[in-house]
Amino acid sequence: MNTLGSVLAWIAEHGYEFVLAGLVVTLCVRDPRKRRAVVRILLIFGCIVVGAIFLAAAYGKMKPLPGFPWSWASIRTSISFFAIQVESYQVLSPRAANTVAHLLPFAELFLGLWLVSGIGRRFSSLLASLAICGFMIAITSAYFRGLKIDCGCGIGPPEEVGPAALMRDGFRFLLPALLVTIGAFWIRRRPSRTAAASPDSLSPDS
Amino acid sequence: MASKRAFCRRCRLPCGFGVVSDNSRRTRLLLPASYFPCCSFGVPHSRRGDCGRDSRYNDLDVFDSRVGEAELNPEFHRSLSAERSYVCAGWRRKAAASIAASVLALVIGSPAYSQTTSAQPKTSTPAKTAKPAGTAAKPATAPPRTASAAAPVKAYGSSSAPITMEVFSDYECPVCRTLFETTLRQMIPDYVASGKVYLVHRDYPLPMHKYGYEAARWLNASARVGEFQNAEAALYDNQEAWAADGNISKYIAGAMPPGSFKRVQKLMQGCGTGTTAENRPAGLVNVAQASAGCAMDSYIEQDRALGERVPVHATPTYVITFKGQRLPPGSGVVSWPILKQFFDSLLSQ
Repeated sequence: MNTLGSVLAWIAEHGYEFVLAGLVVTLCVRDPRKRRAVVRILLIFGCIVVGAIFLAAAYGKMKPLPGFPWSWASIRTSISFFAIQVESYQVLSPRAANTVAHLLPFAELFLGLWLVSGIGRRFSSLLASLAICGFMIAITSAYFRGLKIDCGCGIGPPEEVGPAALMRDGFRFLLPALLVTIGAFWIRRRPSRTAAASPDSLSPDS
Repeated sequence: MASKRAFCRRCRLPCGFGVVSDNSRRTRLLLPASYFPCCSFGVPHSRRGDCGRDSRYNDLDVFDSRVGEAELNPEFHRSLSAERSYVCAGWRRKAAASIAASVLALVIGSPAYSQTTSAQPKTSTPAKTAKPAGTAAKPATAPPRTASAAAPVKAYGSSSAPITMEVFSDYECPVCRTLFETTLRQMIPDYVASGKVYLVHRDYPLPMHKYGYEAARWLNASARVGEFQNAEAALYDNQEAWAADGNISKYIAGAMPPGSFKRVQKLMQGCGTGTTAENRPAGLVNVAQASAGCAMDSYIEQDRALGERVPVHATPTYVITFKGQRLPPGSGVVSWPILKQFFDSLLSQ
């Protein structure tokens, strides 16, 4: 389980480099049909990267605290600890923070699996982008309110809210999610022109 | 073969190279490559003069190879060579810009990552917590002690409790007061009194607070005479008052019997008043130097040294240790119901 967590964390932290490389490759492909094919392939990898971000975040929130074995009780303890971090943002009431802390890891787990599955890519990636945007807004709000708290990202070491956390989350999490979202919508909005067109679209010569 | 000029299906504009079509099945099959020259492959009309011509090359090449030159506009052929160099230049500009943007993103993103990774060993290093002297025998799994044996007891409850909560705070910090008033006050008669939690106070006076350091001195002196709990409650209850005029001794005196206060005053001799954390006597930089001045300063510096190892970025910061296993530190205010739920969860392990 720890190996899986390490792999997910690695993909979450370095996946954006592959997504950026994919963007460059896409822009370098001159042939539009080849470009579409490239985007299709890259979308699969992009969804895996963004999915890994959410799975790593869920893993980070649910993994047992240091010294505890994997068990349902230790997962509950970790989620209770996460509730403290949610409340430290001072946005939600204790009850709401507790509810969010108990739902968010499972929502992230679901979204991560949804993204990796590739089903309804437009909606899953859009939801992922919105979720990351919301998280970044919360970090920004905490920073401007002068709170010096752990961001509670669940990925990587604990990090205090601030410009560094925003930059990291912006490049590592939001950028891949937005690119995947744009790619997913781009593919759907531009159906292949290689199919035969109907002759009625010919305009009479004037 | 009837000649018809093809129009872009999207924009209804005539195609740039005037495809001739006989509307036969053969041509229809070839239409995808030649039928949308203006809009094909995502090139917007506004950019037809730029790389949009690239698409037309592709169309033309395909069309040319499969249909024949009779169906092509020869005029377009003549301009091919001139356009090709222009298109290539535009394409190269695009590629160069995208590569430059990606490199920039990687360069900007890397410092943030290196910052987080460099912080990892700092945070993962277990900070040794000082155990107050004169307490009961500590469990075998308790963290090693680093403070001197003379350090005063600034704690509530039994040190043999399964959960130890160390709170790094500044007595002049309003958030620390909120934590004490709303959370710790409820916790002390409940979980501390029942032996579930051992609550330890650590001094971490911040430079921004004028009387924070002096308050910490008074509290350490009060702890030396065994009046820490009353003195702490008195200081937090009257924080606004003494933070305005700096008259801390008034509230310390009211929190303990006169005899105890006289002992506290004796301990505070030579400590001075109104000393901020930034302007400590004799320019204290370490515990050894602190011991040379006011005796209470050494205890404060010991706590600060512990806090820097956590590390403490803000007050209040709390470190929870469960059965000798130190958990990640938290900071800010946490409500008692949430903290209680966490403690219950820990105790159920």
